[in-house]
Amino acid sequence: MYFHPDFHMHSSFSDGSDTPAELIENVKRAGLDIFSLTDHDTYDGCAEVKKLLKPGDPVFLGGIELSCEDDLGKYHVLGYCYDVKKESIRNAVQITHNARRKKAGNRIRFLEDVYHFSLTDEEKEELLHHENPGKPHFAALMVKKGYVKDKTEAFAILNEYHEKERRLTPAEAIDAVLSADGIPVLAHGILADGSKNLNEEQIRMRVERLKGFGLMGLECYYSTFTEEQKDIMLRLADEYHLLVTAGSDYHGKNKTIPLGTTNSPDPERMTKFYRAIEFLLGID
Amino acid sequence: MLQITGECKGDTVVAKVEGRVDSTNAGILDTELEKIDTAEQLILDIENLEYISSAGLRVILKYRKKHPTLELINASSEVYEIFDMTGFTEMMTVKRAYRRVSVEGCEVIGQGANGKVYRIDPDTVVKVYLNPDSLADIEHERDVARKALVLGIPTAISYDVVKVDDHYASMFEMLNAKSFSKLIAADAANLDKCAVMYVDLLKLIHSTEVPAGQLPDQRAVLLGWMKDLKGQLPDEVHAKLTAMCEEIPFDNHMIHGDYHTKNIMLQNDEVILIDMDTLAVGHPVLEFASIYNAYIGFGALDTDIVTKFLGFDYKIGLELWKKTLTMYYGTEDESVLALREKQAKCVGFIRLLRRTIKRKGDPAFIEHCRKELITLAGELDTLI
Repeated sequence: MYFHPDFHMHSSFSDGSDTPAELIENVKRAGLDIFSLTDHDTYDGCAEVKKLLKPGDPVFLGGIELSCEDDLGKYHVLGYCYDVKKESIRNAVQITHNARRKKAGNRIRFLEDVYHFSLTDEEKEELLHHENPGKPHFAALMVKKGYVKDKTEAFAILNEYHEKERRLTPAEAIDAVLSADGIPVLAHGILADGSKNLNEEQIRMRVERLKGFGLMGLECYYSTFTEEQKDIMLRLADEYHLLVTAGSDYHGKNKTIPLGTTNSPDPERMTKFYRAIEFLLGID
Repeated sequence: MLQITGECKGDTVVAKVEGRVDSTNAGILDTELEKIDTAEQLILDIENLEYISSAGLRVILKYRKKHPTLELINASSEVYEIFDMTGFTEMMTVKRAYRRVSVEGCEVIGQGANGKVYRIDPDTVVKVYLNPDSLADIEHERDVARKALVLGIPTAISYDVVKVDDHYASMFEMLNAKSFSKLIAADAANLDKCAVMYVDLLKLIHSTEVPAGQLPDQRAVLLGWMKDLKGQLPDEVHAKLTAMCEEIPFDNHMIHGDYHTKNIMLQNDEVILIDMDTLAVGHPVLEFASIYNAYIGFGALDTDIVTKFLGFDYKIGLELWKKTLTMYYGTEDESVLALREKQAKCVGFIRLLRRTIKRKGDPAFIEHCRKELITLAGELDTLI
């Protein structure tokens, strides 16, 4: 049994600010006893964390957050305890990675063409070098070079650029995690990809569909959920017999949510998830 | 090591999945199941499945979509827990493995046509079914026994189904119980006392009304036997017997269907009815037909068969039969009792003839049944 879990956080390998080493320090400082790194569409940060962990450190689960979309909208699907050597998870990551690289290249051209920003080859390389270059990386660079006064202004410009990139469907994402022996969990379900507030009927429709694809859990305890949203998610977990997880969605300095803010998870509600991960990790 | 073997039974394929399933061999599970999944229904026998990861669950999910009635049977408690915590037990039928029980060295306390009964400890008996595919029969018997108990019939309800070697078995709690056969065999002086209880219980059964549709209608079964016997008897005999069978009215009262002294137990002075699988509704003549066969009919050519079956002398059985008729019909009028016996004998021989032909039994016995039925058709005008 664990009492201070956080199964949703990001490192500098996606859009968080902590390097894996900093993340481990912060996890310990926050008093977590179990955690998972769930970078967007990459598992490379997890490999780093695993290398740096020492005996006695909090229990670590390999994780990932896959962005996906279907006719109902956008979703984030978390995957835990998958086998990173499996083709299914590698393919899923490759698909989104290629799409993001392509979009980053196009975004650089947009900034050059429309705003006449000039980026050096090294700076471009630095942006594209990120496993998954996202808006925070661009914004930081724009502020640093003095093109904009702050990140808010940078985001306003970056948001002018739209491109429909190839995304995984939730079915593909869940399948990729399952095929790699992992546990697929819907992240902050009622908030969709984080940008919406679904009503109970909308989220129920999504959960029912995803359960059919093999979804195993719901992130019912989430940093920004209201009590009502939490209750809806817990109800759906009972109704569809899904595991219950908890996550903060910590992004380091790139967002204001402290690590370990998981909306008071009830350890009793989490036991099935703990049993599932112990089973998959072979921990007794 | 993963092993998958399939066996087709009617419209169902039973696939045995043995070993461990994870992402390294989940693909093999899928392709192997694909190959053997050729029937309407699919059952996965996971008795020897040691481990399954989510990659394996994914494959099972795929087949659940294809077969909404997919069943997983014989799950070990470890594997059952995986299915339970991942919500699979709510999505599909996952049955746990049956507990294994050994009867080695246990006393055999009863033996019937469909199974052997062992006492495994002072409080517990286990009935081991001979037919390895008896699970449906066991469930049927448990079901009708529960119904009978609810309706007020004293009977033993099996509290668990277990496995004894390759056979399914039912567990019963049974304290100091002895069958009427054993009691009578031990001391013929017990006969009178047993006969009174025997008839009292029979009357209780026959006075029990059964809600519509809960138990099979024995009259319909009898009419089915008559159809089977077309061509096996002279036409006019067959026609007359059929007409008499059709005249038996539908009756919604319970009959046991195999009411002999081995199926009645005495437990602390309380009578308990067992072997409930033949429970039905019908007219008393249908019950008396099977009672007649148990004490007389089966031994028509060789009374030793009855002696061996009942565990006491044929003549004692005959005496019990006469006492039963007298007490049940409440008369000592020989002509009335003789008529009742003939009616029971007639229905009894219809059953014996049809059964012996069906089982390709002794031709001499078949001939005897024919002769008896021809005589009875001449003597009787009604079965009720």
